[in-house]
Amino acid sequence: MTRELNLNDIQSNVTRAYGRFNFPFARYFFLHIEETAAGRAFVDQVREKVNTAARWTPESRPQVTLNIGFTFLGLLRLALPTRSLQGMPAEFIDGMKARAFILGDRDEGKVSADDEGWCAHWDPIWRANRSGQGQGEDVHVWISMNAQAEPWSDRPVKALEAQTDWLRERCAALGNKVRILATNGPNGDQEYQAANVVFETLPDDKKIPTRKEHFGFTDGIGDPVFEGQIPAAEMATRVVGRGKWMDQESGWVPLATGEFILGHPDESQELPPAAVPEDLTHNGTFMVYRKLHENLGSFRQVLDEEAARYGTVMGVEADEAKETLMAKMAGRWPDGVPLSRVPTYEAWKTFRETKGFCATEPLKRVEAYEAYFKSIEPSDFRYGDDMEGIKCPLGAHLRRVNTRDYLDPSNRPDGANPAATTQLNKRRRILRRGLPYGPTALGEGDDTTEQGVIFMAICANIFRQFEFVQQQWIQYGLDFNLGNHTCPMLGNHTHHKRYVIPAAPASGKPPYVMSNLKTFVETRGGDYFFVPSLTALRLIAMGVVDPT
Amino acid sequence: MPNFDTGHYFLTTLAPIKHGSASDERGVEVSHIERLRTTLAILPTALQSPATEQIGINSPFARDRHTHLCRFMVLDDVVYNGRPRSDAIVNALTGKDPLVPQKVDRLNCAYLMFAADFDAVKEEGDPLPETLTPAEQDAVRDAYARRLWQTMNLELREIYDNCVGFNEVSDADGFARYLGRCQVETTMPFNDYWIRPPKLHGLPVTGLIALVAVPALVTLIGFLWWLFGAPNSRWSAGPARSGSWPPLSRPGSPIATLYGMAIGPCRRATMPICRRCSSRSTYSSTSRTLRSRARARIPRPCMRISAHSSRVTSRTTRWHPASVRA
Repeated sequence: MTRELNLNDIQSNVTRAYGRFNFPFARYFFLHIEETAAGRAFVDQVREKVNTAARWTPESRPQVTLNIGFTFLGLLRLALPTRSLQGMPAEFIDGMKARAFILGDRDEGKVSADDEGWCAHWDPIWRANRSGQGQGEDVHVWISMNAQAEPWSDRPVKALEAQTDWLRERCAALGNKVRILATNGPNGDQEYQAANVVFETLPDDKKIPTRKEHFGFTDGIGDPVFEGQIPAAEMATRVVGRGKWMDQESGWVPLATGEFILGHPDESQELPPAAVPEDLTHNGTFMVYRKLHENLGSFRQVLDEEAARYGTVMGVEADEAKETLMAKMAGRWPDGVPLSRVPTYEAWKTFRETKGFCATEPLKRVEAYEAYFKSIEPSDFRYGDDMEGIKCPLGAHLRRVNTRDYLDPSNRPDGANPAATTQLNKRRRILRRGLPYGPTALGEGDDTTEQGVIFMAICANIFRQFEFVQQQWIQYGLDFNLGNHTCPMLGNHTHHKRYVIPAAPASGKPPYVMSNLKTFVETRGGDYFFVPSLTALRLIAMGVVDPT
Repeated sequence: MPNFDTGHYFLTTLAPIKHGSASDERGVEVSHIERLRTTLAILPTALQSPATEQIGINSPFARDRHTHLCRFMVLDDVVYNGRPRSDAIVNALTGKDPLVPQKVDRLNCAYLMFAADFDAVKEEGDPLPETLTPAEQDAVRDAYARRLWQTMNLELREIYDNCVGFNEVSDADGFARYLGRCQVETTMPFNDYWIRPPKLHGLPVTGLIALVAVPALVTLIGFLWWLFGAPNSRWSAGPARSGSWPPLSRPGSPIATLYGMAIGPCRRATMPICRRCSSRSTYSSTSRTLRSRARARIPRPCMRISAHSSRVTSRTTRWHPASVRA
């Protein structure tokens, strides 16, 4: 029997990627709780404003949203019972800083004694968090506010500042026993971590939000879809390429709810392990918050050098070389069209013309993009027919983070397997809930300027899902027969600087090896958060979490 | 005895909770389940502990004196225990693919459980009935529901407003009908009260005692028999000779062994020295000496054990010459 989810009990950011719902701005606040009683009073006041996953109508659609999560230290300060706390997962208790080796955030070639300043480049708020010194700086609470934009502008609605004021007042009313840690940003002088999408400026100076991040890739396509997440009427199209591929007869079906929300059966056909009492964790989930800095200067420099060499080797123009290399690194062309469906530069150019992406009138171009991204096309592909990576290289970012049917045990390295399924991938999916940060336009930044992506991943098990993908698929390459090679975009390239791009044998060209990669994406801090249900928020606020 | 047992009624009801949301007392849109849970969380409990006594607000159920115990609980869903175990070889042979998810049993919605046990009387002061027909039981239940409505309908409205079908309830009779519709037949109430001591099926004590006592007695008799032997018995240990006592103090016999264990050590200290052989040996060594002397046809040098036990001495004395003679 299909049971409808209690969407009013689940926080809105679990089911919605706000950026896709026309909320192009965000402020992420991190708070510290001095006293348990004040913390509970704070939670009680905030829970009134927390947005839930209930379906929006035009009237109920908010201008600004609010969501809340807690670190383990936050739950400890809120005096949850020991039995509940000890039931929490080890990685959540550890926090992200302690998992730096697993995540590739530390140099695996150094021992701790030689690497004391390993996080010196992190933002001060994250350096001070969990440092063990001056525990008044530990991050306890995460509060996010996502806001709509003023029409045709790259400014958030005024309600965002009003809600920020409301939060400040709540802290002040509690005598700052719960206080906002105003040490965000590289200089530690910002009250919150701001985030916003990249806007495109139309000829009449109107601004429209885009799906770009600062490297110029189109991001946020193909998030997983799980049972109960979206209305049944939309599921048939949304699930394609985003659920799990069972077989030819069943096709794509949504992933089990328990992969992303605790208290529901997951893909192993059991309830995901969770702390007691059940009311505390049911309809809650875990969230990874990572501030990922993008080294724009290094990226451009390496891309230009490699493109020049690639053009010479392959005999193509500079533009084609550059865009082809970007596509081969990401797995999608810069406009988001997947290589697996449109594998060659010529085919891509033709495809863009066909779809109207090159329309001279900007709004028609935007409409064409939106129509495309609402269709099944950007996600409807598998890798079982491309085991050699001719279309999409084996180590491409897209192929690493969502392996689809590539790892099916019955696959052979040298031939297509129409019967391949996504069984070995369905337990490694994450919901991405971030936004870019930095300028509102694609600019001329370099390694030192402030730009990147606030990466947030939601999953029922951080260790099994996020950390596995990060450790095994982004920072390692064995599952793709690539040895120690890391993800060409997100990987740490301190030691492993190569990326292999296979070539079609019929082309007569050799494979191309990018051999001087730099680390383009660096972590600047973050932590793991528990995102409770509305029921759990009340239990925490009332101090009645009862594990017996 | 499902719902009724010796004067008491055991009521269990499950009311389906509405799906969707409603505005709570703060004006915040919350799910009906959460609204209900919040209401129950702040419903006063009985003044039965220091903490509740300090609050000083008694449970609304205390207004009717017939309720013994009652409980509200939100039953969100049944617990999923995972895929049933199966044999991988059988699966392979029968073509069952473990990757295909199995059906998960779920409740169609969340339920509010209300369970209570109360005096099965219609009116205040009625005696507790020993038996009730099914129709009388329903009448008692309805009377209880009406009393609840009369004493705490504000609280009941706040609670049951989140349940399916309650909007048709407007009075005590309506609430009685509603509870009746939600009732679940129970199977085993835990009843701690009795009108008169019941005739319980006790343990068959006599039989059990006999079961234990008879073997014990037989064992005891056998032991005594073995210990002291039976005159003229073919079953006694040792050389059976017509007209003679059993070889009770023969070396290695039970009584001799027990005796040796019990008094042997102290006897070593008090044993007089034999004038002829100058030995201070134990009983058993004496026995060995006696046996060896008997085999060599040497006359008995002394009879040392007589200093300690006249009974044993007399038997030993009776046995010893014969043994030596043999």
